[in-house]
Amino acid sequence: MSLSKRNKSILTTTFIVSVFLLFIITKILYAPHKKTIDIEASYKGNAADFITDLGSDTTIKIGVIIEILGEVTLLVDSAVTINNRIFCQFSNQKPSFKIGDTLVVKGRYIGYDDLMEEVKLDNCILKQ
Amino acid sequence: MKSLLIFVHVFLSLGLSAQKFYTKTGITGFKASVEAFESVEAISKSTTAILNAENGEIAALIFVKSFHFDVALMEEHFNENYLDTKDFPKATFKGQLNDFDINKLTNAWTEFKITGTLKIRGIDKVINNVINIKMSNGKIIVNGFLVVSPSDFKIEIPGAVRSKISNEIKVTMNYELVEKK
Repeated sequence: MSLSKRNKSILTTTFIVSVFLLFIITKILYAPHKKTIDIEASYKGNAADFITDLGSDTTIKIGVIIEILGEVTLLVDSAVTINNRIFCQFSNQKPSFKIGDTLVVKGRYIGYDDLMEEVKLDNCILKQ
Repeated sequence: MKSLLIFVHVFLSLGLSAQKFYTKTGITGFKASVEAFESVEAISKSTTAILNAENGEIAALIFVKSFHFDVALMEEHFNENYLDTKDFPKATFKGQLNDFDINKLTNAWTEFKITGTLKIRGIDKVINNVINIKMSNGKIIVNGFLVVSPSDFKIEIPGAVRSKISNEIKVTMNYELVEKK
């Protein structure tokens, strides 16, 4: 039994549309994580101001990307503490600076740590 | 006389200050996968944990947002639909290691009973469990796991995905605690 030209055309179109839809759905479902570098910072400022603004600035919400300028006060493995109050955890790069260095860090604000009494950032990258 | 009093005060202060060990980068993971379905698991490398080495009190804090999934959309659903991270950004544990004595720790694993309260989404659950602890190069290594259920914390799983998420969620902990100076 052979298919008519019209039926062949319908089948081919259905197949192509199905593959296209599957491709689009997979693209949406398995979209990669957004990288810190690609996201515009919701807050830019120095570390001391950030601590002050934390309670009053409504743009500072859990999960937003922030960019802060401060002084390195502690180095731990893959993280640094800035101005004794902001803990920044780097995802990929190992920090190669020393205590006392001034730097600009961009990272995701994940919350205030009551146990350590400091702000925590993850997915950090070094801006300068 | 004054300097003697200062010396006694400083000596007493040092003696009374508790010896604490901590981490800010503890690893906590969980797995809620069901066989034959897509893996549902995540890991956080940002857990804060503090152990009072003198009395065995232990506290931990984890920011829910710090859990990383391989699939970005799954992570988004986890935060927005299940854990309500916006309203409940932290999960905490406060507890006690029974019969803890730092002087008896060696570089071999020792089991300790732990009791405490796990708080997720603002809901408390009493935990009675066993964890393994050892001393290695001056660090206290804590390793353990516990099993919880979404219903323990009133996490509602929609019918469409209920069969794909296990009712028994295995939570693993791996913390390297250094002395707080």
